Amino acid sequence: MRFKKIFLLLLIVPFFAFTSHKYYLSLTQIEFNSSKNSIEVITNVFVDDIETALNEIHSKEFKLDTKEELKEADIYFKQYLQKNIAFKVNGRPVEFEYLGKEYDGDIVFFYLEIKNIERVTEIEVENSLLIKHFSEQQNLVKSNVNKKHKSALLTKKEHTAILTY
Amino acid sequence: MKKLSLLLLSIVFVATSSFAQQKKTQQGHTNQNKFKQLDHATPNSQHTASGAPGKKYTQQKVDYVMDIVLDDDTQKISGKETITYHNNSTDNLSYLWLQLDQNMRAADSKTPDIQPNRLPRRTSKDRFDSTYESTPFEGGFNITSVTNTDGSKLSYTINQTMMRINLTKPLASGETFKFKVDWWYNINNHRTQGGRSGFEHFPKDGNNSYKIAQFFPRLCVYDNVEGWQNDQFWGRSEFALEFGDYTVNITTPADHMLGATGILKNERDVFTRKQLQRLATARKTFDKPVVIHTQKEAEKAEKKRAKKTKTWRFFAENVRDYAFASSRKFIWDGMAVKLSGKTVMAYSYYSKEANPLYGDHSTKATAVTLKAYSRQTFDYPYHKAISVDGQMGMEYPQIAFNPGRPNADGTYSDRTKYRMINVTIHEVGHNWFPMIVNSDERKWTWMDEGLNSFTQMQAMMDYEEGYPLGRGLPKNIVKYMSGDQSRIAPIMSKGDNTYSFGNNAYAKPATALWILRNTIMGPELFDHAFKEYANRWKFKHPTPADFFRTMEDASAMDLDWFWRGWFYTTDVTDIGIKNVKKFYATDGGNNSVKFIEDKGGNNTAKKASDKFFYEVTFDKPGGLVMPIIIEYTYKDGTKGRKTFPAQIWRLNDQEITKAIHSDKEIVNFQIDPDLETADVDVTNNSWPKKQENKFGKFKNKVKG
Repeated sequence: MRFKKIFLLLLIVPFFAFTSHKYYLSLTQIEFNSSKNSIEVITNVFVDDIETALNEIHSKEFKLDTKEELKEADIYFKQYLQKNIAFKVNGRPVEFEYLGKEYDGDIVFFYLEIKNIERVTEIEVENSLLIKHFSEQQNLVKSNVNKKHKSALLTKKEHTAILTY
Repeated sequence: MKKLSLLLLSIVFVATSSFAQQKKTQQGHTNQNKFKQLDHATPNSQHTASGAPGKKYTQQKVDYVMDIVLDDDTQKISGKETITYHNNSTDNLSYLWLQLDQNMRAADSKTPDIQPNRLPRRTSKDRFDSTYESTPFEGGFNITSVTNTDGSKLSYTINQTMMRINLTKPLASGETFKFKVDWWYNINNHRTQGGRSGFEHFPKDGNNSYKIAQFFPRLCVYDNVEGWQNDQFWGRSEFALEFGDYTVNITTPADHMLGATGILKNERDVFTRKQLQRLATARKTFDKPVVIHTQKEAEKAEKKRAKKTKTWRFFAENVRDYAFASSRKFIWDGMAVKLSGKTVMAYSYYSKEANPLYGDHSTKATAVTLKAYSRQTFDYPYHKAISVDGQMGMEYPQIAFNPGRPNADGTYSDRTKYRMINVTIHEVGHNWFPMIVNSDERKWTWMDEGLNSFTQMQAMMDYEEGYPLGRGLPKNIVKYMSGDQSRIAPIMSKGDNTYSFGNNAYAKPATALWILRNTIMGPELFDHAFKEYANRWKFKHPTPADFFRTMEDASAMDLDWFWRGWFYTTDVTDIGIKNVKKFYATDGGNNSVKFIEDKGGNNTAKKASDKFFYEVTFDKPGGLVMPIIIEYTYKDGTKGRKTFPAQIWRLNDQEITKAIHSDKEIVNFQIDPDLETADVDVTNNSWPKKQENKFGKFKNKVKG
């Protein structure tokens, strides 16, 4: 059992008197805009977390939100989001369009849109953002559909939630 | 009129009695009002009701004389210390408690045992190799001798990170006890093993840089609030320590450069003539750092290994701890800083790997910190403050270990730069909270981290115009506060037991103080009270109540509702506009005026006034009571603003209605237009409801 102790010790390495955000949370806000027949999704994650993930996956330096940011960053963002977020509306898989991103301090907001939706009774959300990279990652999903608010907290154990309205 | 009230009264009677017949007798309740006064500990003559130290306030004093040897070949450190304990309390003590922080890293430490964990699905080869090593690191103190000054053995008992000295007869109030402890330990590599002190190894040139702290058995705090503060050190919650005078002799390899707490008594023994000359220049240079030991000289030193040693002799008066950094690799620079009544020094020690980032910003950030904190609290009482390229973030008296390195080619991004400056300001700033305003870090992390993260913001704004503030701004805490409630603890929680440590103990209290200053109290009242707290408790041990009480006592503001909401609960701010009704006033005859709701359409009634009247109903889905900041947009495009104090919620915590009259027609009401209150849901903040949401705005921007 000796090895176990050392291993444990290593996992608790980051003792800092100064901590950066030190918690791993993304927030996805879903809103059904009935006048435009579209589901509007804003997902936000910490810039340094997504950067760590993308750097690892692609073995590149993304340098997000700097003057030297990788030019194709949006392509990689889109790819990453499509791999890690999926929606089913009323039981049917739907595609989303990646409209773009916006940085605000240490957070990046992604704007996604699901078009041609006339009514919504149920949304199934799959969200595994950053879970492979940070074992403590939590992905909070909040939704506002037909004036009903539903939310779900997705983690390593549970990637998917069904929200009914 | 009498008849009418009698009639009304009888209706009430009938109504309540019929109600009572259907229901059980109504049950009472305790006072749940959010403006109820807090039940702080009963004040006494040590901690008074005003939040100040009282007439009978006492504090122990502990003096140390230490001879330390740093062995670079084996990465071991050993020490012989003579401790003089002054029992200034009114109590007789049958034992003394010492902290053995290094035991947190001992092979039998229980720290890893209380940490639930899983196997990672993937790990780096390096980490795998070190993780599955078969011999554990032999860290922790080796206590080789505990004796009286005459050499006779003292009885002691070690319980994990705490050591009890069993006195043969109780130490009476007012008496002094002197004893000796000898010890040594293996220094951890803080880059691979973690820790808030340790050494970093540089494989390229084979050198180490040492950041040595929590390195000697030192006395726990004994006071009338907690008795002995001997909570175990699990690794996270920091230290509660007594003030005293330190005489410290540190022996290092002769070619090391060293920075430490205290005044160096033998400059001429340890510095070259050139270094002494440059040091003299630095002491007179106020505009930029002067390099005292250059990169070229450090590079030369790191190629060799001195066989000889040298001893650095320090004296530190009235400090609560001691730390130092030492390496062959250190470049050293410094500059003088003028405070209101004195001149102090800002120094940096860094390896070439940290340059030019450290050369550009480290000493400058230290100097800005000294000025900004002195202004907000009291003049820095010590003679110097040091920032070390420590590749962690950790504070000790007069010396801080900071992170950040440039790229191999010497370039660095803005993010690297600001992160390094953020932490440097933060750690150097800790000289005030908790090194001087010496709260109990182990119990109340927020009292030093929260206050420091707040005070830090002013220094950041001083550093350069447009400095990107992050932590502490109300809008940036929303994500945390609106998160999963099962993973959020109140600020008033012990650091070891909180989720999201950084948000709980740093960001949220910093934000709370930012809001208190800028939105609730105003800078004038806040700054006076905050300064008063710092001055009352410098070189003393304040409790949370001392802070809460002083802020109220010095400002004539009852803030119990604020402390309760922000510090004792996990409630969030969410205030909305539920409804707005428009009225006009018309002649009601008989010298009276009637208000009639204006539901649109043609109003033929004759208006009695040109004024516009509104009834705005605010609801409060969030648990926090906060002021309502409301912005009016008039029909002519101009704006007005009004703040209703938080006390507007004192009789109804869910919903209140406010009548507003205006000379001009109001077309829009907007709550918290500048995002000052950390409102977690702003979609209910305006009337009429905003048609375009954040998503729509972005979409338009992209299209445009």
